[in-house]
Amino acid sequence: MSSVGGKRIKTDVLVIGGGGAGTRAGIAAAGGGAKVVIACKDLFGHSGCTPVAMGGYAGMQAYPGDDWKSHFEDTVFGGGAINNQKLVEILTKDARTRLLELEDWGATFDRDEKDEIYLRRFGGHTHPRSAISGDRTGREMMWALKRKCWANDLIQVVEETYITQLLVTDGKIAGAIGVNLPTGGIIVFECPAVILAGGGSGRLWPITFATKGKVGDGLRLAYEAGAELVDMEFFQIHPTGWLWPPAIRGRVVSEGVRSDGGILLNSKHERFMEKYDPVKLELATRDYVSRCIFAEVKEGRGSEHGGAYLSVTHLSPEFIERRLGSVLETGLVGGVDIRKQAFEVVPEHHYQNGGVKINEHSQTIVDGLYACGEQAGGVHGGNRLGSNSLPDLLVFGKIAGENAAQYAKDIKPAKVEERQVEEEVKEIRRPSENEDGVSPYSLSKKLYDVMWDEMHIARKEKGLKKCIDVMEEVAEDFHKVSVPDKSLRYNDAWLTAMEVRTRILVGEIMAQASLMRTESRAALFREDYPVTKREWEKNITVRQVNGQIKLDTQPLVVTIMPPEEIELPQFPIPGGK
Amino acid sequence: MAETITIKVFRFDPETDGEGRLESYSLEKEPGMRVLSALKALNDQGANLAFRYSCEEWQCGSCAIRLNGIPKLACKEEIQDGMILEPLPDLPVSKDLIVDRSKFFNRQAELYKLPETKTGAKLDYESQGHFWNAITCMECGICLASCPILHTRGGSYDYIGPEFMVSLFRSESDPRIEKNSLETSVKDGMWECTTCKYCEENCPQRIPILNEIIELRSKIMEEQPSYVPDTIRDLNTNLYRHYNPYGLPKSERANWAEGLNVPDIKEGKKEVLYFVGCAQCSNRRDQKVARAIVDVFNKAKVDFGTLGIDEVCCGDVALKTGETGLFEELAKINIENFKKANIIRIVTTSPHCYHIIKNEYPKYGGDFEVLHYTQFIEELIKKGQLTFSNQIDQIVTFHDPCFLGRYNGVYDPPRKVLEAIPGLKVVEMAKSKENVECCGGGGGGNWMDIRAGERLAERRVAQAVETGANILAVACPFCLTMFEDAVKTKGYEERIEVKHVIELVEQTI
Repeated sequence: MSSVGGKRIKTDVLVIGGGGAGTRAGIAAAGGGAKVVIACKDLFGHSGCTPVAMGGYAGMQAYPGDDWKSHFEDTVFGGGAINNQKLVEILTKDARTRLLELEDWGATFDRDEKDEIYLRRFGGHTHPRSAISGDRTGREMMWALKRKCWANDLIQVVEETYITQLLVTDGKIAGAIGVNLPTGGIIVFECPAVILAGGGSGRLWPITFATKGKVGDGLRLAYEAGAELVDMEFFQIHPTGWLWPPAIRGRVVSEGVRSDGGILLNSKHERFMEKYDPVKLELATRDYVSRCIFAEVKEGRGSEHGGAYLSVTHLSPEFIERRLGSVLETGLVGGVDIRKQAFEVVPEHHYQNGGVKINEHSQTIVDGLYACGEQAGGVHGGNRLGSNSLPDLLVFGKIAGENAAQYAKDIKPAKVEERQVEEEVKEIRRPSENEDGVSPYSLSKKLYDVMWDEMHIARKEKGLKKCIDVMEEVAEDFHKVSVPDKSLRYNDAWLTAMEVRTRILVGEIMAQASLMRTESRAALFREDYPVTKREWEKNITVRQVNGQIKLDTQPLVVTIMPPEEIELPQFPIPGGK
Repeated sequence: MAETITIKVFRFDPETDGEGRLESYSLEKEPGMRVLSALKALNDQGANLAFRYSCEEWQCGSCAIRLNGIPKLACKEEIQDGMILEPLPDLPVSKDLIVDRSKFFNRQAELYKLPETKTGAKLDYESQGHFWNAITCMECGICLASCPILHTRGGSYDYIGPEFMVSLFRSESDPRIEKNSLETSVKDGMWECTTCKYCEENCPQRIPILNEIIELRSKIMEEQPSYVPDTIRDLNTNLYRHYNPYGLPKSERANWAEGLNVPDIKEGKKEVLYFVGCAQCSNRRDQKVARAIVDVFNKAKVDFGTLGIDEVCCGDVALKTGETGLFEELAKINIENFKKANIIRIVTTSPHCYHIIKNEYPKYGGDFEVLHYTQFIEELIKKGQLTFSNQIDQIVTFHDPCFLGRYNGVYDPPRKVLEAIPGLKVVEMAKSKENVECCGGGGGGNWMDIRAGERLAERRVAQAVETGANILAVACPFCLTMFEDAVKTKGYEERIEVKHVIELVEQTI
């Protein structure tokens, strides 16, 4: 026991994050005989994006003519040709098996009238290949995964527990440390293996689809533990978030609406996607559609409040009620009946395409550290296709769990260095020990403002540099942040302060990576470098070296689709080609 | 255009406070602002309130709290001036608006661990269509927070509750598995539910919870009749033998009308069929109610008749307790008799009969205009057929019957009738109209004995007494029985009297 007197939990594998990837990893690790703890930042099964994920699960290989290769090609094309193709192969080959396995565990996916699995076609996919469960596919997946966890005595779930640092001894994972919010007490985990499955970083932006708490803590943990991050400049802007009325601003309008026949219109009631992509229309890739909406707005043909109109009025009310129930419900909360009227949408942040760099075993370069799901990078390259995230969770969750369990079995656990624990405890306690300092909410607002202004759909050098400056300013102020209440028990101000700590770092890394890549590709639109360049067919990686952010480039991991053979689309540039 | 509003939020820190308190906060409200946004705005101002949320789009089930006493999702509801924000009831408060859900969490886990076997069948379009609603459950806990039975269990969660019944419905409807949980579910109170529907009223996903509960009961009745509680089987046996759940022989059904002028509906063509109802025929106290109705009808010169001994139970309690076949039989008998008698309109004593005839009988070819007696009395007043003259200088509070109010949206007529009585002062209980707390009598509850905790009726009469009323007015035979018993067991005889609305009407004309 160290001098801090915190609670200690010994286990084999600690999974940080209890969404689809984290639970699948936990189940796989327990299957490998490991004792597992899944630590969730909020309520288990109710938090993160998995329980509310709408769209679908791609990779069914059931439609005539469809196979994993077609799915692979679509994924790499959608990813701007910079995906790690080894990972894409694994994803597209294993997706179907993992879904059928989940059904075997009790999940139900929609059937069509012929009792076959109903398939939806999502943006960028050549064939319909996505299974769905009503209009909240993730909820059903989470339900089955949760039950499987509860039925397994090797898995312990700790809820509302915020992991703030990893403990590394001689380059090997020794454990982790965090705060249990219901008690306000510090917990130290002693474990040889950690799986990062904490999701993305959407909450760096004031308006986003991401759920509470997703600020990319896992990225900071990985970075500070010595692992690499990859493709950090490529966060996804999804074309359709509710724009009006304000009460529902920012709520998600699933791509499923477009899959099921929704059409986009400008202020002149023109179906503008006809001119940008007459073949794929509204189901072109997300970055492309976002850029088209952006172009329409910039050229003066935007909707009343600066977006586009999305209409499903040509679909039957019964269809809308059954298949698009949540979107209908959201509209009604805002006073808009989508069965009767078109509604306004605008692009908004949706997904973290990059993340912790992993190999095909979900391993990072730090011994004992694994990552999977949205937290990991490489699978989706520069931009994710719709319905490609849910299979990612199960496929790489399983791989991470199995490998972590095996590693934990083989390795002699490293001893936690008490000095590291003490240092982190100081960090944890500082905001409540500082008196009369800066409010974490004011720092939070500064970060939101600069991310919204400079790190959204269109970026440029001046704005990115400003972003970095603001991050560094806030980092200085952060040392003086103070929060009311000494207790850490459900202390919202303390939580906000700790998240600022992560947001500063992740925001700066994203800005630096965006600055380095002097081109536009997939989800990255540089206003000052609007053209895609072949010389940028490489990935940008990020590591901590001597306490500083160090960027590097690395060659693409290519298996069957050489990038020189890929012709990426030219994006519409407002005011001209 | 922002406006300044003031709200009250429950604050409690177990480390420093003995008990919680409501604290006032002012803030700027943007148009359409949600409760959750208001809470976040207060924290921006330094309030450091503790509350849960995650998705902010009414799908994750994290943010359920009470708004003005009603459990709702904080992210979905609009903040209003004067709103009171409190944590969910019946669970220990961890801090401010956050409750400790571990009892609830553990129950879920237990339920999931119950054994299940694979049948080898495949999932198909049709059976999936049957339970797609149940899958939308986000386990937010709002239905549990609404259930009056759980209010009386002191947070022990030993009653199965609506959410777990939905979960069970899902498992039972899935053709691929056989879940061995029916016996446990019955032990945990499958027949304790009074079918009051408050859970469904508040469910953010609008899951048809009651249909699912009744279907489960039906299934158990058919497949595992030995699990069904004795009292439920007895009442259905009575229904089968005597056409009423109280066991009164059919030949004695019209005895309550002895000495009264009660026309036979089959003589000539009458304007109104008075559908008396089993309780009013069988129980002495309820017979007084039927006699009061007849008295008032005669004084108002209503052209009415009854079916006499040809009237059989409307079938409500058979349907609600899962005896669907028996219900159909009873319905068909009544419908045929209604048709033979050339009925134009039906007026019932009980809201249960009203509900069944209105909503279920059309499925069996019985489409009739039906009114509850309070609606009919309101009509008579409007037409000038009834004048109220005698003063009743009392304070009355009206208890909305679940099957008149929540199920059918009828709230005003009983109140209008009471308000028309000279001298009578009408006050409202805090939980009224669509938020009424059930008396405990429906769904078989009148016959069930509770396993633990306070009786719902006892809880409710205490609420009535709190208003200062000395009359608790009811419009349903179950409410009458449950409340009169509760008044006795609580020792409130000197403080409050239970009366049917019609009894007050009879007093005043």
